[in-house]
Amino acid sequence: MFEGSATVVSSDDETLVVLARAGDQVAREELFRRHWDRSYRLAKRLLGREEDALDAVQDGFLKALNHLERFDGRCEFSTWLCRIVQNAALDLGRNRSRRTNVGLKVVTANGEEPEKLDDPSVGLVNDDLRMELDAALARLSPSLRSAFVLFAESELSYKEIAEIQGVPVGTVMSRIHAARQKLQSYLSRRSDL
Amino acid sequence: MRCGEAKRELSVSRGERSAELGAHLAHCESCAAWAESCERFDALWDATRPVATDQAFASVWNRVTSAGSSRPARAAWLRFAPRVLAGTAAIAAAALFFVFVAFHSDRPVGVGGFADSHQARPEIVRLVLLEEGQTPIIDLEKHEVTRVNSDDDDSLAVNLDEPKLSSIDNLVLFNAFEAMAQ
Ligand SMILES: [Zn+2]
Repeated sequence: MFEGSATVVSSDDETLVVLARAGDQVAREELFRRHWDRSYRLAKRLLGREEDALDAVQDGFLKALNHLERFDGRCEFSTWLCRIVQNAALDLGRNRSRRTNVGLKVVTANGEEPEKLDDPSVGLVNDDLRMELDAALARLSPSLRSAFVLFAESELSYKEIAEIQGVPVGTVMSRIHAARQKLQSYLSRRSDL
Repeated sequence: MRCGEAKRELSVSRGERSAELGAHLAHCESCAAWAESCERFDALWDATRPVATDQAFASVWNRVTSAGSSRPARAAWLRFAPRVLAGTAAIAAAALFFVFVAFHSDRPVGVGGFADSHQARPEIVRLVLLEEGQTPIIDLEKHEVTRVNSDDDDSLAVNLDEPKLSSIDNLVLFNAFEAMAQ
């Protein structure tokens, strides 16, 4: 999709940031391509709704790419970007009521519920599970939700999550544990988890 | 190892378990049940991992680049409700008319001076009358109206310099009508 040169594609993030700061469009594109997937997953888990997640990712990348001079290199670029996307998602979540589809029935054009399949890897069942999980995540406080999502979805270290949240590593551990207890408790009431 | 420590370690584990935890799980039903619950939850998490489509990727990148390219060099894009702008056109034009007379007339502004000045400088102010639902698209760098959009056009915008945004209510209309004056 992008016209990135082999040099740019093989460069590390810090080099790309330097190039992007100087106005290199290919470097900007490569930074986006490289960090898009994780940013999307992070926002989607934090917000639940697809449109909100895409808006948050857009806001996050706009802020990051337009203010690359604020990246001081004291942490990884990916950590810096995760913080920005996380904040964009939390801001957006505060401004829009978190909307989930929990309680809505999926019906066919005839008004009937579709037949569910036994294989949990199949789409329809996964959609139900995802909605259940989204609903459980929505019940967490932003700090717990964010800590758990960063832990489970971003592949960041505990130390990096602590940097993003501005708390000690021990607090991150406690938040992840508390979030997991609540999530598994909510879901166990709704299923056999 | 206490049960609280064991459960906390299980909660934050990414697969690896200490020997001490393994020994605890071998004889503690409560923690073993928690470990099993964590494994089921992790399987659910993995099974529901969001997958972005290529379409979403392209859509967001296009939005990032178009938003980014519209705001370089101290410019911003603002959207205007066409009916609001059209509705205020007459008031703003009238106000601007007085402003031009005040700044361009050689004589004190009065009824006579107003009329004379206007007649002497017919090129200063040329009103563009907008019908309800129309909005002018104005390029302030070129100082020209690029087109007039109708209500159902979704791309209504006026390009303004960022420093003017703080007093946008006045400057937007002032600049808009200044740009229309030829
Ligand atoms: Zn135990």
